[in-house]
Amino acid sequence: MDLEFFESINLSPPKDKIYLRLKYSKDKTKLSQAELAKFESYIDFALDKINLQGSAAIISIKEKTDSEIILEGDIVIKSNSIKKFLIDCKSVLFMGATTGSDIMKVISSGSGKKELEKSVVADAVASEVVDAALGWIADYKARILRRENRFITQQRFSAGYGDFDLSYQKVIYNVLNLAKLGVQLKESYILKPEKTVTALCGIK
Amino acid sequence: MEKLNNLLKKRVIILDGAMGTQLHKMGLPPGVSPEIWCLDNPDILTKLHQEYKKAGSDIVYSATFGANRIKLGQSSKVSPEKINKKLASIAKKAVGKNSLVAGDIGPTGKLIEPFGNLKFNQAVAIFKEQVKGLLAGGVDLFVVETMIDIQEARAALLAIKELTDKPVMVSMTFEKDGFTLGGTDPITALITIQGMGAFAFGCNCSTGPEAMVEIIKKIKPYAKVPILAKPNAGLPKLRAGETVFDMTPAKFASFSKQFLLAGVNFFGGCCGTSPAHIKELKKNLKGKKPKGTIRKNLAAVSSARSHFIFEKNDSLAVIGECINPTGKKELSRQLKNKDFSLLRELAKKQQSAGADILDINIGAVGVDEKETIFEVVKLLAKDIKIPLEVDSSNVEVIEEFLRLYPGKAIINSISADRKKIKKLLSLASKYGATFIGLPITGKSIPKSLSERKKNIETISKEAKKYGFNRDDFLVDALVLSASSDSKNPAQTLATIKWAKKSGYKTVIGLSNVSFGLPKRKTINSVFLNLAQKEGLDSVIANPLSIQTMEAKKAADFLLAKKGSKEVFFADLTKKNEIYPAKKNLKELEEKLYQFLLEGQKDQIKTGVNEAIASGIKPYSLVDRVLIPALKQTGELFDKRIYFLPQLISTAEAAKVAFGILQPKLKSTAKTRQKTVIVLATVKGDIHDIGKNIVALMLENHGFKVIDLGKDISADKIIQEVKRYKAPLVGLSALMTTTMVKMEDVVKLAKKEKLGCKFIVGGAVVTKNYARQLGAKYASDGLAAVKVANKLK
Repeated sequence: MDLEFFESINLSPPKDKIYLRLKYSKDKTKLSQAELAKFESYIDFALDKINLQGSAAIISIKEKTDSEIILEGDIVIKSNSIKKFLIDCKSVLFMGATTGSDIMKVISSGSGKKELEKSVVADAVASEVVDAALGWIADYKARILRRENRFITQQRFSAGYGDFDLSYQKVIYNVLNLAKLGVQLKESYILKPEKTVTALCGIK
Repeated sequence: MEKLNNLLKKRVIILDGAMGTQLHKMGLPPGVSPEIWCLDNPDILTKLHQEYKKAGSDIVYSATFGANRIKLGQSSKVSPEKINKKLASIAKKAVGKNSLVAGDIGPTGKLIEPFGNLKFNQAVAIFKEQVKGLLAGGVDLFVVETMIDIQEARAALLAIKELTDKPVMVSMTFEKDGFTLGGTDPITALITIQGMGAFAFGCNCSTGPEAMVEIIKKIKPYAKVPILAKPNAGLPKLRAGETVFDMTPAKFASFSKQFLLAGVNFFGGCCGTSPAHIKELKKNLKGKKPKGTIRKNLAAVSSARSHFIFEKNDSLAVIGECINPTGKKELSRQLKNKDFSLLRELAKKQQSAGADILDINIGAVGVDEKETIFEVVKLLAKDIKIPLEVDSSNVEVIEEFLRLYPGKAIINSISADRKKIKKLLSLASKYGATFIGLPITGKSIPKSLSERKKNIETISKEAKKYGFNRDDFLVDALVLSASSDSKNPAQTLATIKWAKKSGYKTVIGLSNVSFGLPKRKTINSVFLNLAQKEGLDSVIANPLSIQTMEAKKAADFLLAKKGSKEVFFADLTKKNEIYPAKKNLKELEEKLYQFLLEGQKDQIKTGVNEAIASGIKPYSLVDRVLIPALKQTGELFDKRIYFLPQLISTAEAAKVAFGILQPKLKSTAKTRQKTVIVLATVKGDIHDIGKNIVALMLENHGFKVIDLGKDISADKIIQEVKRYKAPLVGLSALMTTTMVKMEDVVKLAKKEKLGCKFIVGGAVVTKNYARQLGAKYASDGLAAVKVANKLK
């Protein structure tokens, strides 16, 4: 297994997606200069609190049976969706990314409803940035693999979708050694900090 | 080298085309190491090199792109050094004497510290294995290519430069957004890499010629070195599950004119290009003379993600001075304990306050400076976007800093002291740093201008030997306190004037001028403005001082420095042009209405109090201002003229207003009974931001909200419903696994025979699911208000 940690992921913040998440409409929403400056400052503040890290692991597929996929290290995945998703693939790229816990303090500051506006923006920023980090990791790995004439699937798949049960979050958590990045796995398979995401891609 | 330089003056030097995609066409199977395969198939490799030479390549790359210990991994029992030597010698033999062979070094595939977990010195050692082999194989020069991480490019360049003087070309890969995947823009990368002594800089892979020519245009004006371009044969396309590049040789070569105009000096092809592409390129560029380098000097600094260029007529650069433990007990204590929280906070605050560069001084009693600086660079290189300046008297500390820092830093400082000057200049040259020239020789500080001039010229003369021109570094104009001699400030101003006239860039440490005097801030600001008038380029000062920063911005503006007008007036443009004024309201009501619509929480308190003081009744404010403002906000949100933060902004402002008016309404007995609603995020779920928005909206629309928080059990929710006799319950869940807990609450309510009605919402909750539960669905905060109003 080839496990790699990314201790600092630098990416251009996906501003369009952040605004879209906050229900901004390019054609309709109107913002004064002062408001725009205010919300941009909230976004900057949130970005400043994000310590984007991640890890990725490439694991070979050992065997595909009618009902399951067996990976190197005897990791067994029972999911028809994943089986279909990994058709023609020889290995799997597992990816995880987290924003770190500082941003969670900003988001939860809205719980007292004193800074809800700021925390709503922070929530949107963190959600989009951590999602973009998975894209970043996939791009990073794709670039290296392409030189070996290997390609990763365009789509990603996360636990909890289709019949790929959320309990596989535990497998992914262990494969990616997310504990090293300070991420905890809760009983209900929730990752903490909450702005932590995982996914897998196939490698052809 | 001489041959290369002569050739560069006459024409564009033609590089080769793709190696990997061509080898795949020639039989290299997918997933197999190209380097190992080439060792087993030397004839095929020889043929490809020869085809490129025949097509017109002046330089071919050895097939050693991935011949490093990490990429070769377990696939070879032969050492990387031997593999590199063999592959380099195949290339040399293939092309003969008239073409040059560049020893090709590609990425390891691992991110390097401070961005990844591969140690920087380990990376340098890995690249050195390659360099030794390539040198033994007889390469003429080196190329570090397809780098996506500036730190890895630095490691490879250092590895080469520590073993040989042969020229090194460095090319990086930029994405569609114009940045490397590591977040470095092309000018920043150029500043860092050319500073370290690369022979040429440029880009390869990732984009096709159209996008790449734009990158070349951007970097050329700042380049002191020749520029290289090796684009792919167009953008990759997915066909039958495989990526293909399908730009024809003629189309590819048709971009050569644009590249020539942009300033390219080395031109070849990357993925998808072939000898046919190179042949066309050669044909199109025949007889065309390239642009030479534009710059001889460039006073610039960089981090991994930004740069700062000291340009003529630019605004004054501020070098933040706050990271210095002298006189700061808490910072000293933390540094001793390797606690960097205050240091990080100071760095971030200075950056936000507008510092262009940060000075880093961690020298304090009890602090192991060398060990600590390593940790500080690791932290700040990741967290701070602006470039850094290392401030230490210890040469080892400076080297530790410069080696790891993924940018072009400033050394503060290099004096004319014979003992240190050579060592420090050699470090600056090796790691591509710039420096502050301090015009002193020993411990005594020269007061007279003539003595200062002499020392500056000594530094400049010595620096020239290491490749630094007088425009490449900053001269410290030495600020001494006016309290010890009132002529001191004039001497500093005279030094600035002379230095500027002599072609130097200048810097001062501002606060020294007022040492021992009253009204220090005023003196500092005034002196700064006087120095700006003399042409000062940069100041080491406290960017958290509002007075200093305002004085600086004002002087920049008055001296008509580039971009200063926009900066100076930036804070004065708070004009609101969107909100429709509501008719028939008294002036104060109108003002309050605007504050609400603009979500100006800070103004609300004053607005409400002014309105009441003028005789407007509290209930009138609620009926005529607050409720209409909330209604209008809701309408604007529904029409998407407002987006979510604006809706919340107004709601928060309204809450402040209600908070002031509530006690006054009670005293006028004009209050209504409020409907109680219990809100909770269900058991197992820790997401509550949506629920918080709902709570705020409901409160503003006259509901009494009992917000239980997140991760709340069914028992607890029902217990509180009973306690408050709540007719309404709002439940939230974000995940499919926790959504089902809503059912437990509804069932328990039925079991307890409570007549309460349920409103449910959250990312995964649907109308159908709500119906199954016997509840109502609300998609957002405003919808929740509408549903609650219907149910109450």
